[in-house]
Amino acid sequence: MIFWVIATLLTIAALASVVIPILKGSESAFSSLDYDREIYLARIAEIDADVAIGRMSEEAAAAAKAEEGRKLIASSNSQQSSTSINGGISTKAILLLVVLAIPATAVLMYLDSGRPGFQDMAIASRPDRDPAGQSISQLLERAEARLASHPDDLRGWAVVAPVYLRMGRVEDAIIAYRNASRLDPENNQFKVSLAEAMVVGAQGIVTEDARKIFSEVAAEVPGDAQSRFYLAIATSQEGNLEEAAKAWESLIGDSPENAPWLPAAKAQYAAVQKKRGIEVALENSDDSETQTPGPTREDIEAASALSTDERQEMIRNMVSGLADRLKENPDDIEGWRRLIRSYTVLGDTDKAREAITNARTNFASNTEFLSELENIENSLPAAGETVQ
Amino acid sequence: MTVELGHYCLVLALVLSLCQSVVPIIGSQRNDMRLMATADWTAPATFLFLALSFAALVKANVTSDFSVQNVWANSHTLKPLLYKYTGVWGNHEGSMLLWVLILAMFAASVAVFGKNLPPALRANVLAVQAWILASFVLFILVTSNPFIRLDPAPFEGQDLNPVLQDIGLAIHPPLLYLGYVGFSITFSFAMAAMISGRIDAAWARWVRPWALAAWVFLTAGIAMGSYWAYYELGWGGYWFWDPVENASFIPWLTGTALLHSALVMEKREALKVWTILLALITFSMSLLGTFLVRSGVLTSVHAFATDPERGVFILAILILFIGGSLFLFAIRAPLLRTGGLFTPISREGALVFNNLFLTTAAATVLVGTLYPLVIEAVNGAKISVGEPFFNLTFGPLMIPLLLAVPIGPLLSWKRGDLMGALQRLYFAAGSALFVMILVLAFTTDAPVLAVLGIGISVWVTLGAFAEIITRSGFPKKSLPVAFKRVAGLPRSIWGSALGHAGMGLTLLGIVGVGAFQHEIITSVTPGQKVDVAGYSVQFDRVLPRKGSNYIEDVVLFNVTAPNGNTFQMQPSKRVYTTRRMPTTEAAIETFWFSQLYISPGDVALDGSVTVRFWWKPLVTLIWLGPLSMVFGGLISLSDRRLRIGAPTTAKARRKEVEVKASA
Amino acid sequence: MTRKQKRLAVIGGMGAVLLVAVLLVMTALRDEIVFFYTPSDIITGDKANSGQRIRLGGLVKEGSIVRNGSEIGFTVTDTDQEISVAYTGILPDLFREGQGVVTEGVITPQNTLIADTVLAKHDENYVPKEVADALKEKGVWQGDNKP
Repeated sequence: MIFWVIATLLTIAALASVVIPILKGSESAFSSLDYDREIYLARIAEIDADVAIGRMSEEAAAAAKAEEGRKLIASSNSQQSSTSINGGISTKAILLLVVLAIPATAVLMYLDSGRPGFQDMAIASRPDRDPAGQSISQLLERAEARLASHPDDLRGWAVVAPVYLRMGRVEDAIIAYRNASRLDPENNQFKVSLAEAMVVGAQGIVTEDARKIFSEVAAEVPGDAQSRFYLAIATSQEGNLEEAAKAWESLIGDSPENAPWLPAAKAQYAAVQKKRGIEVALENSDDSETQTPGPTREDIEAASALSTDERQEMIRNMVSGLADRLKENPDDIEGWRRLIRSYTVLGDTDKAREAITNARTNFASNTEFLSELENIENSLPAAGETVQ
Repeated sequence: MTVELGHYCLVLALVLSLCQSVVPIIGSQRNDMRLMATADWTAPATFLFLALSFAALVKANVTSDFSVQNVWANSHTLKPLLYKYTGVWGNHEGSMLLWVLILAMFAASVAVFGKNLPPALRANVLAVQAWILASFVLFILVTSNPFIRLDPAPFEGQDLNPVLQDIGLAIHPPLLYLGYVGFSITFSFAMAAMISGRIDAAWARWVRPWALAAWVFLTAGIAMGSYWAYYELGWGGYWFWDPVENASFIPWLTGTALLHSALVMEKREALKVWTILLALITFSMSLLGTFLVRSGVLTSVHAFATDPERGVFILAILILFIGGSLFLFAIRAPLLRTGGLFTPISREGALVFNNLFLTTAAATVLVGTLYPLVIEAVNGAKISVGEPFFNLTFGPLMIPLLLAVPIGPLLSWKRGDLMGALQRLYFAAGSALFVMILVLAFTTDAPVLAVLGIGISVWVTLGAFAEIITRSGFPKKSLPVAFKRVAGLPRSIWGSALGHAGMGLTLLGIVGVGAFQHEIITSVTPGQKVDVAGYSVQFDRVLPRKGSNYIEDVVLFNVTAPNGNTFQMQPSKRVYTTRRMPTTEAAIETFWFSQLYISPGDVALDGSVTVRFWWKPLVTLIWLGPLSMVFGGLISLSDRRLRIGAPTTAKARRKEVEVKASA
Repeated sequence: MTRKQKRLAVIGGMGAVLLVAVLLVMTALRDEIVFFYTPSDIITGDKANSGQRIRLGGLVKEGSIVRNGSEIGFTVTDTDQEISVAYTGILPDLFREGQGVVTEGVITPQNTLIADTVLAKHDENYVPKEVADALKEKGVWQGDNKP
């Protein structure tokens, strides 16, 4: 509505620019001869100035002035001969025509391609977008809504799955990958990614389900480095160090020189050998910064490429970051769960207990969560003990 | 809502300019002051509506309103704010809106500042200007509407071409349009004169300031565009004879000719037919340039996305205006009487000489630009016409013209004294010879043509000031007297001196780079040193860096100048993240008038980089020359003598004179 | 000289300038223009003579780029025939395998192009107009129905 109010005002302004001069009439009473006389006077002044600075001789100046005079006379003659033509439609008719035609034409032309009700949508003020830049989650919500109604949209599942994984929504990622491999069972990449997500969900443990999938893929594509990598991890996690060492050796041997997973594989191999009591020198460990350390970009693999100390350091940084965040935003139950779990895994029992205490004070009314905390606390080793 | 209001303002501008196309002309035919006066109101009003419309588009861009298709296609939330502003005219739709805005601005200035023009002439000029404006606003609304909306609105834009993310873009197109479009005013003046049938010296006097203003802007725009290409594209070139460049250069040549012929028409009432024709041709060439660029008929590095429908529309406008104006010209021209007589050796003769060569040169550039089109249409063969063609045709035509430049202003009207003029140029000729001998003495392999070129440029640059020196009386008069005399000279003398000197400077720069440029293309490894014209350039390392919407590999060089100074140069290879588009950012270091220019290629796996090094002697003069021309034009514009009062002030002045006389 | 003679001299002078200009343009148009060819034009069409300066347009063949410092070799193909190109210098930012390219240089008797100019346009979807036309003729152009 306000649009049409302003548009009307603008139209009135446009009309005014035509109507006012017609109604007002013009007071100009100069004949065009007056304008020519102006030029004549200016030219004479110029010629005099040129003579003064020596640019023109007196003689030439006199001739030039005479020429200017002739021009003035010529133009005054031509003015007299020109007469004004009257007739045709009257000024009033023109006025009426203009007053009717301007608004009508403007509105019709505008409505042809304009969208009068369409509001501005400056990015910062759009209601469907969080200004803090959480557009990804908004987009994700849309995608989820679509997938809820179109569960057979393979591309949709394939797109959201890695996004979930990156956002830490591992369970959702697993579901998405399951759907993707359901819709495209021939695609080994989806299977591997599914299994990988399972590993991430299990805090780096290659579960039995994941292992099955990796074995399947490895059987189908014997050279697939990704599945071999995880199978080797699984073997070493089972404690079958000799087998694991062999698996690593063969993977490293088969990998091309610049394979991105090579540093990670070598680090794993070294760790396995160390457990068996064999030292393996890790070459150029400072390369780990520039190379992509694992078969995927997930942090767990990134960590495994680092030396043990670096890995601990990195994890500690992540954990202290989480702790800081919880100080500012203590209502995040999932965050507390993760923090406590992290301290437990790191073997920092004291910090874990501290976190449990803090969580209790923040969720004093949440009985369910309190009992969960109780369980965790009981499973912790007694104070002073450390877990290797 | 502002977007929709901007759209509505654009429509209102069209309707008003349609009204302005008709009503004032009826007024001038019927000698009805009231109808004529409407143009004085509607022209500023149209400008205002277009300005509002443009402001709405700017707002949409700056606030990243992706519901506007034009913003979505050319912007991105991460784009730096400055480029959200400049991006408004960095695309076809926005630049066309700027085009018509500037067209309307010229019309509005005639309405506001043109009170010294007879009402009938002013009304007709504004009406013709409105024909052009209405055609192009209609073109925008029909084929290139920047206010088309998207529903639902996307959340992220598609980014602006990174080559256009440059401060040069912020200034270049507006300036180029100011000049390009500015010559529409001389077109309108010529059409108005032909409609009313009054074509005389007074008309030339009235049109000159407008032609000069348009010329100043066009000169500045072309120079800016050239510098932009030089430092942004990373190819080290400043002029490519690209169709888009030619499209702006042809109007510049004919516009320069127009400036000079209008002088003859004003002072001697000669060359009337020719001057009118030049006024028509200059703007026709601007239109042709717009058509060539916007239709995609000719390929060019500067072209925006093209669309056949647009091409056909502009072609129709082109035919209408060029055909219509030439038709009117054919009817009116035979009726014109010839004006004052003059001998070949005279100021008039020199200006005719100037016109002859400038328009012939413009014609050769036009032929070179259009020839590929013609050949393709005739036998389907695809050819390209490049620098060698223009060097062979345009170059030779410039030599006699430049040789004559210092002489012309020293000849008097009607009958000139060539020997007298040459006597005053002894110092310029002597200096030119001296410099040529110096060049021959201190260089071993200077091409003859280069030495000649340097001689000509010294001749033109110094000769430009011959009249000022003569008028000062120096060395016969003492320095303070001479200085006082110089200060008293009309500004237009300074204006033409600076304009002509600018030509000489530009030539010096072109010859300097063309003949003495030093170029090395080589692959360097970290630590390696390359000698570029005495500068020792050492490749240090490659440093990855992150910008607001791009990532780049900065290639660091440590440079030691011949005088022992050391400094760092940091060219880079950028990748703009949204479009995954790589660009090269050259590093340029200026020493007096010369430049060291480094442009990196790809970084190889082994850490070596292929790099192009240039030493470009006197290169900045290529742009300092036009700067001098622009400055000269502005000084001339500020000359009181170019402005004539309206009759109201005349009465007052006459009274003043009477008072003085009686006192 | 009488006035009439002077006038004739002036007109004659102008005519001479125009004549020189026309001659220059015609010479330049005969000698200084560069024809655009596709690899097929050169190999099967036999249109270009060796030693002639030409523009060659087509697609950069996948996997054909060889680098040795600043010396670069690659193959231009129109999917039918191909021509190898040798170039020293820096390739344009948008030069990529599988992309359209225009190169300018001298063709050798062995049908190799010694290029001094390589052009790729400032738009990643851009294929030089000449290349697009040539590919359309061959029926391998798919650019117009890209999403």
